[in-house]
Amino acid sequence: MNYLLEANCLYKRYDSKKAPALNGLTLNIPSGRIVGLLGPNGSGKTTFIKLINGLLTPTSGTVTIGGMTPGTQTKSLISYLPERTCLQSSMKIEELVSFFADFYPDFSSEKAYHMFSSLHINPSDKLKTLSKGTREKVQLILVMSRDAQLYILDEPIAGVDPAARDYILKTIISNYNENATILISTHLISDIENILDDVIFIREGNVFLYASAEAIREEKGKSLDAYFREVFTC
Amino acid sequence: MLIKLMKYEWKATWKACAIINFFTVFATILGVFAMKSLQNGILHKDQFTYIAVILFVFYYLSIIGVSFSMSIYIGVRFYCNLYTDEGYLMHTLPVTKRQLVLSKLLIHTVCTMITQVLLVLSICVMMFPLLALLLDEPALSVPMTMLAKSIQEATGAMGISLPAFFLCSMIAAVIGQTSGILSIYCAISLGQTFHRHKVMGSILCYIGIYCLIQTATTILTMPQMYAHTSQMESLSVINTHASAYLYSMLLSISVESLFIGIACYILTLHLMNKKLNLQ
Amino acid sequence: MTWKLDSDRPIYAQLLEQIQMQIVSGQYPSGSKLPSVRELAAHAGVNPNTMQKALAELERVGLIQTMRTAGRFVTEDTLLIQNIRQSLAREQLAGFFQNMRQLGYQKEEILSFLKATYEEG
Repeated sequence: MNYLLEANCLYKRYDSKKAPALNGLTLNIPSGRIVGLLGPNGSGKTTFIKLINGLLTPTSGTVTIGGMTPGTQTKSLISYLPERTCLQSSMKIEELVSFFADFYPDFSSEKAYHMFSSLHINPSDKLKTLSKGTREKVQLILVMSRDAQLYILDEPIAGVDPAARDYILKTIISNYNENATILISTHLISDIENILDDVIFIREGNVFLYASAEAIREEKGKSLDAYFREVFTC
Repeated sequence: MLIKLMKYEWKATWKACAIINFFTVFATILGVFAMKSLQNGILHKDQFTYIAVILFVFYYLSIIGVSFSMSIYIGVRFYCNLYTDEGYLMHTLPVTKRQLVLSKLLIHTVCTMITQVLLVLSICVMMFPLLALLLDEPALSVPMTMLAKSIQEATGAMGISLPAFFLCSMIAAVIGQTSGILSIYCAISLGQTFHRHKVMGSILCYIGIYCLIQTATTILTMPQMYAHTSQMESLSVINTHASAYLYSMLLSISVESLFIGIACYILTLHLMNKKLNLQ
Repeated sequence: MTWKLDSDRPIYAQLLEQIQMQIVSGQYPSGSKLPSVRELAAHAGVNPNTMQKALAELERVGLIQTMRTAGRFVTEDTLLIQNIRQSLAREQLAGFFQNMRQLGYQKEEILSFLKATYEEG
């Protein structure tokens, strides 16, 4: 079978004096899954995500999305939420909506406006007048309003209050297309673990474990969060 | 996609462009106004030199400042939009790197050209009251006709048609500006290949490129200058040779800018396609 | 109703138990239509694939049926629902007796205790 995302011996070194951020990472992710990318800080999660999005160039190895290396075509397949605010803060929310609608044919403005009103966000506000948490919500809403093949969410709920967190998780569950895959990187495992199909534990730039969430619960008899703490105990 | 990118680039840039141009207009109006008040004897004659010097230093600095701030703005905009947090969005849009660079280049060239044309106009506008002041003539029409006459005489003597020369200069200016903007882009992109101190690296790269261009220009134009001056030793041929000299200088500088611009463009795209590493 | 999910155990098994409970307790009466997988999953805050798996298991047991276009319905076989209800009750009772025995009570003691507690309130 063809995988949606294939990483083959991915190797990325930023600084020749330090250990590589990714050390020969190899994994295949199929379509139609919600996958948690879990690992402690500095384990290479964000590096991996940036390589998939073509924001970094690998030192060696390959990554393909739908069989293609990162480029213009893969970018229209991926809806990416970076771990930082990447939107121009001088823009109004409605301008951002038309920006996304202009560049992504799979973007639904209607969906976005619906979610803004559910979270009481005023579309005529400028981004820079909003709180950090609200900005994160705006960015997540824009990303989830696309009908993409692969959603990559890097720390999507870190700065968001618990009530909005629930709403956002529900939106993710009810919005994504069945054939799409969602890759969520986070360290707030307990909040999202019930929605995961599979989990990838990353440690020191390599895959430590790639298994189904239910299998871990069954075999270990503990939650993903508890198991994570056990594996990555200091 | 290119048109859409240009639309958003324009939306983001026009305000800064307008502010810079507004400043040019403001400095010019201030300068003209001050000179008129000098001429009308509102200020005492003794203060004339003193104030005139301050005025011209201020005007001169503003003009330099305007050209510089436009270049700096273009550099900062390119850097922030493509190599900082905003780059996360720009580089994940389904557009090619060529479209990203071209959209910026076209809009930034238009902005710089507007600024440059306004600057030239400003200098012209400043010249008339200055001449009037120096000649102690109350009416502006006198220096205007004088200037027009001398330009006509000069171009006539050199055998240059004024519109043709104007057109050639404009084309050369556009090529020069575009190439200048591309060398800024290229320096910023080169700075990104540094492990640390990327901004410092960009500035160093720009200085490097600038020195390279200056050296190349000197090497290119020196033989021509020498050839022409040696031919112009006898005064009888000076006029016909002057026009040939002017045109050949324009041409060689434009061709050089064109080559440098293309080289910078190719290098920038190569760095973006193959070496992109956003932090 | 709210879903109580314990992350220590497989989610699928817990969903199965809770939907079963909702059916035998009459929250979803016999013959009624169930919400879509997406709706149920969003409401429970779980992955749609997991919900799908739980529903498929209930379908295998016969508690729910899928009409090709109309969606999922609770079975009209009330006898089956009754049987499952009884077996669930029996499980509860068995657990209760086991716990009481652990506390050191004998069979007769448990019964009289039970009666007394019931009459009190």
